[in-house]
Amino acid sequence: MAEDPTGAAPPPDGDRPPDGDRPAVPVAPPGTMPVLQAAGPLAERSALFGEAVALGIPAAPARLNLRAPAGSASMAAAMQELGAPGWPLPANRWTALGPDRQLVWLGPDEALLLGSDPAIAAAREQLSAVLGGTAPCAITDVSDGAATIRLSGPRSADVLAKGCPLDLAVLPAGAAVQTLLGHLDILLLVLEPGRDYDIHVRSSLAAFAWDWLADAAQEFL
Amino acid sequence: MFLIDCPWCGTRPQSEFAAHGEAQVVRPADPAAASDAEWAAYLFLRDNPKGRLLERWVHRHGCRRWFTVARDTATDRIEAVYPPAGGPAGPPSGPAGGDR
Amino acid sequence: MSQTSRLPQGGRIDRARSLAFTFDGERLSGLGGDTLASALLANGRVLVGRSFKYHRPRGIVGLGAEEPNALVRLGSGAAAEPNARATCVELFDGLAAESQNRWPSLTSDLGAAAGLLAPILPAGFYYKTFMGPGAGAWRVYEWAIRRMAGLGRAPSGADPDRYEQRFAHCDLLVAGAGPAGLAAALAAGRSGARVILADMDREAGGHLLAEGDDLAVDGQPALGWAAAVAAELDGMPNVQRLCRTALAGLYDGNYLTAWEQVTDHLGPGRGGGLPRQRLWRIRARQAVLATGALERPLVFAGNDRPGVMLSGALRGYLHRYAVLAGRRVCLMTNNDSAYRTAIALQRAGASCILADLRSDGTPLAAAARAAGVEVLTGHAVTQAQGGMRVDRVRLRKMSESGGAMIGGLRKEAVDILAMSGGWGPNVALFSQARGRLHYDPALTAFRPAGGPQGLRCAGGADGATSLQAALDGGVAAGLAAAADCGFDAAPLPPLRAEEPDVPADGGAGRVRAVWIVPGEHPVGRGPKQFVDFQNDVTAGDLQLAEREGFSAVEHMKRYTTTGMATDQGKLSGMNALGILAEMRGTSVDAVGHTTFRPPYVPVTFGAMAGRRTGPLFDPLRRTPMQGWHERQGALLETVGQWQRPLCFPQALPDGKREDRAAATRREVLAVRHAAGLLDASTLGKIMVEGPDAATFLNRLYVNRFDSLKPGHCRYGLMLTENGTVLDDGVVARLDARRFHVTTTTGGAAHVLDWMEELLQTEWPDLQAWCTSVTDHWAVATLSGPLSREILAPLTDIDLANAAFPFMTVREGLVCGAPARIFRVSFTGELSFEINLAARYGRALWDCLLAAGSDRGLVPFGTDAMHLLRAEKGFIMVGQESDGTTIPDDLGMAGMVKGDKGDFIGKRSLSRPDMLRGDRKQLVGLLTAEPRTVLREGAQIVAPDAPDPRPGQKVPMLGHVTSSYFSPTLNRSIALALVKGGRARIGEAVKVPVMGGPPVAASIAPPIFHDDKGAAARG
Repeated sequence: MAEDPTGAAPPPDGDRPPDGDRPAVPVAPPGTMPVLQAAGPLAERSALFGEAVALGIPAAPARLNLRAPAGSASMAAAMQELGAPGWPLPANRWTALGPDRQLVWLGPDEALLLGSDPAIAAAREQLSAVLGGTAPCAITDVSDGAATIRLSGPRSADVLAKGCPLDLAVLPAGAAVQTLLGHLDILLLVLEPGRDYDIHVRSSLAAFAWDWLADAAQEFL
Repeated sequence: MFLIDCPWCGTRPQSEFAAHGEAQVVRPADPAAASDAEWAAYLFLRDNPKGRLLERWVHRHGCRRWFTVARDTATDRIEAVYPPAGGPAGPPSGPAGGDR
Repeated sequence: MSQTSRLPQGGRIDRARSLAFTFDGERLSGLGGDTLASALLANGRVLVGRSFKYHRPRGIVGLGAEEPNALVRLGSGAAAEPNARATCVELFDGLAAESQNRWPSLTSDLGAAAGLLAPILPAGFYYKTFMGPGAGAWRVYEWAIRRMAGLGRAPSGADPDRYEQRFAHCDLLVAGAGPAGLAAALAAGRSGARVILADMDREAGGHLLAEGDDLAVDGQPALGWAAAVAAELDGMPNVQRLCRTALAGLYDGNYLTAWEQVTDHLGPGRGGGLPRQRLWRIRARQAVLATGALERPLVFAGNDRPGVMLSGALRGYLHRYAVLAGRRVCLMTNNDSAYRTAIALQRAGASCILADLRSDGTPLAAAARAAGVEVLTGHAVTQAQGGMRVDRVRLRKMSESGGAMIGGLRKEAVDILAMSGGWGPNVALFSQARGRLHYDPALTAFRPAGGPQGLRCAGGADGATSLQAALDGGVAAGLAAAADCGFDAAPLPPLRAEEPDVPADGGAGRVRAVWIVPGEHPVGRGPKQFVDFQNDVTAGDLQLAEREGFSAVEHMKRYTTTGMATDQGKLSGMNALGILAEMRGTSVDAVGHTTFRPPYVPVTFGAMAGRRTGPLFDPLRRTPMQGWHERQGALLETVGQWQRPLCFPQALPDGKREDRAAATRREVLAVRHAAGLLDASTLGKIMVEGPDAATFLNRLYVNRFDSLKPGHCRYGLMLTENGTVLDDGVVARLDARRFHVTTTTGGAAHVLDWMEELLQTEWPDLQAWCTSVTDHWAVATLSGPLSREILAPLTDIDLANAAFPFMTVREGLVCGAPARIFRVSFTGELSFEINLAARYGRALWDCLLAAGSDRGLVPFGTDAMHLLRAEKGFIMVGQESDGTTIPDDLGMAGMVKGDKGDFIGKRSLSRPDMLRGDRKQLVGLLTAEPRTVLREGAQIVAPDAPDPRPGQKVPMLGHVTSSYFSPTLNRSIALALVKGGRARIGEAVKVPVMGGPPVAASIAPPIFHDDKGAAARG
């Protein structure tokens, strides 16, 4: 870890945040250069617990953005390889692919694959094995492009309703909707209706989203 | 604040969308062959009917897909929503704009 | 015993709970369940404020939201609230209220002199004052008028209270918890539909709360029935009942805003963890408006005297609050409802005279006379008299036609005058939602005539004039709404109302339209006959407006201000229309009505802002390095939603900090002579991928991208279809089908939207996809002659010029993390734009600064960046370009590849105007005096142009787009757009300066440093 040249800033890894806890890729020869410590955009926020509402930071998933035409046979085959229903995915839904991968519909030609670093690395290999280098598709690593905030508790829908214009009561488990939270664009995954939600938001806006949610939760804490 | 049926996400509030004007403006296939008047018409001339208008909308804060909306400009009533499956012109057999 | 007007028993008040409050500093007491208005009346206070324009003394008129006069200031300091309606303020212990619009006191207000000036403050006086006499008139009057007019004063401090907002959804929204609303909610609630029932009051019942105990529903007292229904609704999981919640606006698609006063009734600081107020945004599939009916005042001389009240309000104060506002009461009515008031008041101990404007009487007269009321049919009150309170009325018999007074004058001493001009459906919300209204001559009011889909009215709002009709209408509306939502409702057994003294045709009976009660003087000549109390508009004003040609309803509204502002004509609207119809000699239907506008009741700015205050006001985007910048005390500038460092002022030996100019100068010199580090994470970054990616970029940019080799970068320029510059940035080709595109910080979102629009709508055949990676990558730009040696030990990428030349991209590891490095330069120096996954951004920043500390590496901000690029003549989109600028104007015509086929904007570049020789072109500008720094935006004129004087036109040659003092050159430099500028290089020009001598300058090439670009390539 490099020293701060001015001495004014504390080292960023004093308390390693849940979403910053990633192994740095080792490089040879060791010891010749510093190793960078990872820190997510919520590194300076700590979880909030209440009986009615809790705000947490789940382990940061790696993210792959997938694009392919709605009728793409090669992408459908690749999806089947991953255990997904096909291509395009069911609209406005997310699906668990085994214990550590989730596939989220984003549009008729777009999906988001979430999972642990190794699970996504493995998925990437599976995808390129099926798709090869010429299939009409785009696969983009967007792992650090967004952060996830988990909102849970019996009043979690009331917290969301302060900024989300959708009727949360009719969103079933497995729903994945892209919508607004106040002035923020969010991707909302319903884990358990009325109780557990994952909110995905641009990394640069994650701290703002957290502060917004924490403030909204205040009345229930 | 009317509701719009996104062809993919279902009924959503207007605040999630953005409108981008008349839908059936066709970009000349060969701009170089277009006369100055034709090109200027493509750039600048738009219908502004009182009544039915086909508009391009995007689900900006949702799935980010573009589609065509038939809206009555006088009542804000949305008569139909067309996915751009038929191409950029929107509805396959829709009228060419509103009452002129 | 201060509550002299409180009766010893009755009312829905808690006599065990005495509440102390103050009004204008005077200590008074009320009871639990009181409103501020009922408590004031209980204490014998009628006078509560001064009017808007004439500062006339005014008293409480109404019972609820319709109150036009009793607007008071609550609380003090930053939490003070002006213009609270005393009739809607629940009393709490310690409440402090003050009257408004008076100085020094309510009873001796100097502003009342405005009343004497009334002849020069006629309708439309604002417009007339604007027009003359002479241009200076307005400025002379403005100060005085602004000071005198207006309603209350907003506090200046930050509001200490907390406000919330939330969305809600339901199948059926019911507005109003009176009999019709309760019936509708019950019918729909039992069907299983999701129902929200909102009402302004703290308890359910609506107008039943203002009635006596002689009303019954299904054999039980009506209010008991209402309480039982409310309890049943509260027990239903599918029903939400909102109390103290006013529906403020009804918009397209049954979208409603509702204003809930969550803890206002507890008093300041007693809300616990709850907000003070909450704004609801409700989306309902169906809506039933059961908003009741409003009673109209009568228009007669002196009708604004304190103590002149609405008949129904007087009855409500008696029944709900056990307040007998007067002992000697005169009532004037054009319908039956005032008889109920008179009978109730008489029974409570008052002595009443009832003047009925109808000459043919009513069956109720017998009951009234039996109770002891003196009933005068065909009589009118021609004038109410009194100063701070009405003390005398003048009564006369009217002719059969109603046009003249006949018979002798009778004067009666009174302490209250009640009026009833008939009841009209409260259609404000219905009309907001574009529901159609038609005039019903039997009601003498507008009533709903067909609403938009999913919108119904019920009860008084639908013109019902009896309790039975309200209940029936409510049930029918509730069932129909539930059915429209797909719920099979078991029909509700009919609700049976008992309502004595109500004729079979409804509560109001026959109504005689008397829009202006004939007085002893012609309209506009005698004592004022007010139509709109809140806006101080008289019948004479309406007449004047009509005479001056403002006879269309919307014109009359604006010219006279009747029905404007927070009141929205609740009491005045119908009377104004009736008077206008009479003046124009036409029917009310032909006159039409004005549009009701939201909000129905004033909503506080606090509720509208909600939690969007302070740090939550607007989303703030943070780069991974943001925390470091803030801890360094960097000066920040707002760029879109980002806060970028302008510069990093350093501590000086004397303990002070550098100023902005000194810090920027130091940072610029460091980049030119050693190295600097810029947080460029805010740059827009888009991955464009797919078999057709190169084709897509060819069509989007003026440049060629099919010829760009993998591993290479190209500066790209993007145009609008008009041919003007839209955005710029570096495009790197990673492999045959993947491009890493960068955009300006501010243009990122728009460019991505534009790309998606083109791909989805214009070129759906292209197989290319765009994905934003702006937030995925942290970007640290290392720039300066020493940057290579600083970076080399930290990466496995060979940085040697031969291996990694200018305008190429390499992927490898930096400090062990996967990196994408661009060798591009916006400063003109050797630069490496290091992209690393955002999680490593902060650590990379620290690491680079540490690695470069012994070589003079410093962080630099956007001030230095702008200066460095200006020295090199690099443009900034939006600074050197302005939406009319084309590539050739910027000297970039050579970049435009005409041989690659069509691209966005290409055709426009050959339009005649784009080929003109006198277009403004980018040039440099050097002042004759090297220390003079021109102002950005300054105009440029010919050296022999006359000095500009008022009224004189001077031909403009162009304007300054960027201007700095260059530390590198130790002189000022500027970029400018000048007509035909490239042909004028070397010519002298002049830059006029406001308030000083013009600055002499000469036109130069738009590059001031290293014109061969050797440094960046080194």
